[in-house]
Amino acid sequence: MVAGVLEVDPAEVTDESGPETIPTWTSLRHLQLVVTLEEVYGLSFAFEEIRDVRSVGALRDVLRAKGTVPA
Amino acid sequence: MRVEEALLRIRRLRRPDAAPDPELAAALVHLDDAPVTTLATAGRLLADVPAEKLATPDVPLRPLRVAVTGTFTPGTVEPLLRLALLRIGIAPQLHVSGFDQLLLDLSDPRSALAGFRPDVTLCLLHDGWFLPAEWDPGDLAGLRDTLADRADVLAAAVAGHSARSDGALLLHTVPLSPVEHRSLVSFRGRAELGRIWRELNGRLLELGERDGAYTLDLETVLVDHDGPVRDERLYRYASMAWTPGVERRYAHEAATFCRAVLGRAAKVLALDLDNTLWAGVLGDDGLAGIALGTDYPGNCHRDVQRRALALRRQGVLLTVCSKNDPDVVAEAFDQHPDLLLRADDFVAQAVNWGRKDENLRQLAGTLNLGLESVVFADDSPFECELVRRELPTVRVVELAGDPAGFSRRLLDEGHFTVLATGATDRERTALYRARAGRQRFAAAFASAEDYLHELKLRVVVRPVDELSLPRLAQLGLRTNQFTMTDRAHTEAQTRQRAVDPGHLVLTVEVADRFGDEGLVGGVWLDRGDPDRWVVENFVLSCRVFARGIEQAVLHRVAELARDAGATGLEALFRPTARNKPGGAVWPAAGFTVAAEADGATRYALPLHPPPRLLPAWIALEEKGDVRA
Repeated sequence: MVAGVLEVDPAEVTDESGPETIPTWTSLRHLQLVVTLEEVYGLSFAFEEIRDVRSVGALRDVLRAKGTVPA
Repeated sequence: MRVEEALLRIRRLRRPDAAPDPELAAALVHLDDAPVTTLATAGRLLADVPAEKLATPDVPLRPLRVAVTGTFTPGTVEPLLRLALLRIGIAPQLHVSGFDQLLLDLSDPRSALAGFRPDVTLCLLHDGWFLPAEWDPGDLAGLRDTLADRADVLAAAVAGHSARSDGALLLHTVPLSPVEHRSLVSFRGRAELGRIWRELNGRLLELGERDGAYTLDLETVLVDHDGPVRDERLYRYASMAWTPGVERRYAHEAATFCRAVLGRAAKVLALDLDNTLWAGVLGDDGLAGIALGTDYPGNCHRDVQRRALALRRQGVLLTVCSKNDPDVVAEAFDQHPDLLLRADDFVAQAVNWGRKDENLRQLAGTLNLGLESVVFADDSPFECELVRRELPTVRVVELAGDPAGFSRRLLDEGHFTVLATGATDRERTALYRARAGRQRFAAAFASAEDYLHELKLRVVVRPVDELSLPRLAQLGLRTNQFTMTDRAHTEAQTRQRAVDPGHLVLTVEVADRFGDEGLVGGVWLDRGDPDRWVVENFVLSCRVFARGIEQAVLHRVAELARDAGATGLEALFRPTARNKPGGAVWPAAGFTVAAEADGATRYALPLHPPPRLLPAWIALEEKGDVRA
């Protein structure tokens, strides 16, 4: 899903991936990622929680804290 | 096709060595029910796919340059817009501006948007741009003045853009955030704010009534949108004024607008009868047994008839495509008291027990229109699937589920959306029916020439005027067969040429013993070189083919050129999938090929001695001052 929003090959995306390693991970795409996660997992973030997330692994942690187990 | 399969096919196409997937553009409708973020993903992936890999030779994608600018951050609309356009056969080249660039983009002749030279400019607006942040609820009169000032600023920017660009521009009405509404504590005050806000929207609607500007009534479109217009977090954090759901709605409406700009609206509605125009099966239930009165479910079907009638009154041609006994159907149209549609509302009827795909093919052939102009509405999933499979260019409206939703299904997609309608549109059904009368008349004559003499054709060629200009531009855009290019002049381009002394735009009107056909064609001439006039485009409605009218028009054009001192006439022809009838006119009129370059042929005809092109059976009449 992250790969879909960021327009990269799914194989390139690991837990360590973030705005520093994936050039298409801009601030706009970051928001689109948040909106997509909300729709797919049916939840709502406060932007405080999500604004400073810098990697896929950290995203996973936020989702886990919300009680969902991302695939 | 499932959503995942569509995404997979898009991903596959992104590889540089991927083979083309010509059915994919049309198959994008299968994504219609997918979540909006999936659509956005599909749209982003499609950005890297070259249009050649999506097009079919039969139904090429139309190229279009579309610019998006706004009073907020419009970037996230881009993938949804790309998808919405590809879905209806338009391959866009998109230019998307950053945060709040609208005024700069429109007013600065050197802006990036101006440099992009868009065919269509989409202007995205939001309430926060018009409302001062600290507006005083105790001074609504002052607020009214401020909103009027903002509207003036916008109007000036739009006027500046229209003066420099020959593209179309789309504004929209702006919904007011309920937070502003509730900021006032009194009922009277809220009502007054509502009135003031609607005055602003009224002004925006007015701005879309002239030049190349149009206004989408977004406030109305969003009435049945499920969910908020804006996500406060996205708005505060990133100045994005619309939720993804609203972006999706807008993208759909904007894509429909682009199709209208290209003149690609559907022209024919082919209607099923049983359980579509009425409840029940006529052949089984009998005339008294079908329901279409004022009670449910008959009233739902009656409403479908009402909507179809409204379409007919705006120029859409209605046809019947039904498996039924023709005598029984004729009796129903003649005698049933509750039918709103009567036999003469239809230009043609295919009532038989044959296959519907074959019937649709024949209906289109009879009307001399392509299948891509046809919308087919039927309640039977079987018939819909058959038509989808056999005739992929026909647009299918499946009237499934509760009949109460049928009218909406028929209209939601905007298949018939055009930029403007006029007198010719209202008369179109009568014109096509008169044409059928001419065909019967033709059968009574021994030779075509006898028939043509008896038709008593009169042709008027004269410069376009204020009244005929919108209709001429529309005719140019919607003509597929007798046209010299797939990029006909837009209304704004036609308007520019009409006033420019280096150009001449002529209209063609035809009348015969059966009546007035009205405006049926036009010629766009470049006379910048007074010695050699060049026909940039020549269009003629398929209603008047094969009567020598094109020769009569060229005769008049040659006369005009000669009178002005020209020694030669040239014409440009750019072949498309369907304009062979147009290209044939040049050799037939004695033009020879002078040059071929960039997929276009340049034909030439010397004007000494004067060419005699006027057929003996046509009277060329003069009205107005053709030298103007």
